[in-house]
Amino acid sequence: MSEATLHAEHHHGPDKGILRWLYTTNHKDIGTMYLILALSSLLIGGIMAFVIRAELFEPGLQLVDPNFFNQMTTMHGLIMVFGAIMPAFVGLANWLVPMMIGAPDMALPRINNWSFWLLPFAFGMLLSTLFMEGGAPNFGWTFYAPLSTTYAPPSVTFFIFSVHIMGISSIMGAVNVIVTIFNMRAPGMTFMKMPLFVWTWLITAFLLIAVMPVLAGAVTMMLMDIHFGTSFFDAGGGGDPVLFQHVFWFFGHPEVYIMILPAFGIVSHIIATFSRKPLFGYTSMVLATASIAFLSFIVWVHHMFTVGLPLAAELFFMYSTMLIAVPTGVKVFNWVTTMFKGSLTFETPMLFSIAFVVLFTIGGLSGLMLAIAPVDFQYHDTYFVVAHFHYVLVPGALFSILAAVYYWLPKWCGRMYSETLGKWHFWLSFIGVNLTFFPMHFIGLAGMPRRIPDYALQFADFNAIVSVGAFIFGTSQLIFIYNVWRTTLGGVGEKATPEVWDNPTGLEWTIPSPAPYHTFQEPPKVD
Amino acid sequence: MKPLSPWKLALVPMLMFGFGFALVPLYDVFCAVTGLNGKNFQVEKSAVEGETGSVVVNLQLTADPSSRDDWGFHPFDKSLAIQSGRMIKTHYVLKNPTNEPVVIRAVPSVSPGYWAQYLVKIECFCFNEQAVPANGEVELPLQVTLSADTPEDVNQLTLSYRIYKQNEPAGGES
Repeated sequence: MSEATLHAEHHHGPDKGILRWLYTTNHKDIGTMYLILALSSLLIGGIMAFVIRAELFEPGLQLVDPNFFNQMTTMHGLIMVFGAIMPAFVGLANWLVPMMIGAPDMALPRINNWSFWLLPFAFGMLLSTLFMEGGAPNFGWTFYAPLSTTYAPPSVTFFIFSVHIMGISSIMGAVNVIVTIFNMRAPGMTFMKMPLFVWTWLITAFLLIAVMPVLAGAVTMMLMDIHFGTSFFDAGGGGDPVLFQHVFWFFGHPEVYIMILPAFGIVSHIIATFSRKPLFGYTSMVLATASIAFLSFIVWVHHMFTVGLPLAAELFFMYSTMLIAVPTGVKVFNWVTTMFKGSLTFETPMLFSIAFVVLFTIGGLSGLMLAIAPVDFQYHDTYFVVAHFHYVLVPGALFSILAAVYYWLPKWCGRMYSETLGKWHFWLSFIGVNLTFFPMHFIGLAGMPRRIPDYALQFADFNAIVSVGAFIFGTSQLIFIYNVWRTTLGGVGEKATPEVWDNPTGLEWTIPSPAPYHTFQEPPKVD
Repeated sequence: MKPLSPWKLALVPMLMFGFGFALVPLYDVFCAVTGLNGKNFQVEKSAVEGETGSVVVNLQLTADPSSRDDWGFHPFDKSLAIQSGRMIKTHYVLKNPTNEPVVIRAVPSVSPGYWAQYLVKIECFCFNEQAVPANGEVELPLQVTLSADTPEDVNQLTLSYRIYKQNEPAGGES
């Protein structure tokens, strides 16, 4: 193939030093920066989780005062959702979408650079609130009014601006992904031939451009209530605090699918490769993803069953929420059927993907329990909710990101990671994650409220177990960081072949490993 | 296929930003149509004048001062019988126990919410700013009646007011 000669003729390598990263418009460089930002956020958010779990290790107030505890729960949620999971998926999209559809780069490379470089400023501003008078935001990651308006610390304005900036970044990133997928597919790659990661990201990007502006609207209304004397959410002026919850969850529910749909795409690739079978039910996977995305817009009120709704609304949102189990069940069925009678091997990405299927399903089932309106009155705002959304976000979204990094890392850097360290990382994470989040179901059902720094003595044993699990899970991520570091910068590990794995499908496996700085200058032919 | 223009696509987020704000009036319209939220709206006197109806409903009046303040706030009448076509005048009494003048605003709520539409307020002190002098007392007038189309099974309505202090610095710590 003339790829190598072509490459030599056109080569105008990146700038040297820091300028390379500041000026780059290369989708691979920007993808790498997104992934590093996500990893940094994961560590910062993880330290906050350690503070929370250390305080909750024993009943009583030992380490931090309640207000600082609230700041930790709030910042942990915001940093993990907006700083770790979302940028990690955008980073993966940057690396993979152009390589998977045979495009030379993203459609809007300079917008891409700008989308990334907004984020360090947004998160710098958010983190700086920890050192401000009055402390960081302490009203929970859902920032319900009037806690986040009338009773908020002065730093709330910085929080609002950082949400604005990260929202602009997400919207530009999503527009970029959509335009890239629509306009830059290789000749012959029709929509129904696109790899599933591309499909799930396309749908995710549509969700992003539909709901991130609504979040921007919500925080703008907060800003006006706080500083310009309006009363959107202030009952004293004729506003309504419940309105805030509607606007927030109209964004918030699609947001949770933004954090899981790309994960569906990733595990579909990995399970097919390590089962040595084509994915079962490609078309139904695409349709299921689209119907989940559609349903995500009409279920938001299930987060607010206890605000005082009429019976008709409780029933409508209960049943529409349960309906989501159908397309999700289709997906789980397809993954299991792909593995059925396959020639399975259990490399690290496959281990993480199988754990994803099992543990995400547990998170989905507790979601179904929460969807039942009459019993939600007991589960509402307890640790059961905490267990539910951590099961879908940690062994769900985060495991899929880790699986993706292990799976495509040899393609990115040209070397194999250490399988031994990978397996250690997996098993410690698997044990840690279940030890952390499974007992939360029990203490939640028994009535322990979330976002509370102290608790009744009857919850003491389970909370101690949870804290130990969190410590195991958190520290085992250092194995991952070491493994990635030694493979990339350390230069250890055997050289990867272009295919890396056993007959994987997809255009990204037709280019050399490591992937050259410029790929698919000439579009490949897909048939 | 024609290439997709990013500028056209950028219209979607712009429209959705507008939609976020459109949720505010939509929410009020939705509540007004369905009678949810216990909100009802003041009407003109002429709109409800007419023959005296047959339905008589017991209206309970309650007062809910902001829990953070030490107000003397109570209704003059604890309960009233209201009938369509007959105007009832009453008032709430608000005492300011502090040594500073304050400005308050009262927000009404009707329970049960799905019958809120049948309580017709002709004159109401809700949402108006009301100055109360230091250690002073004011009477807050209220004029209500029952809607002519009230069904027979409406047997009890509760009108509650909660007062909010207005001259607090907004966004302050409490």
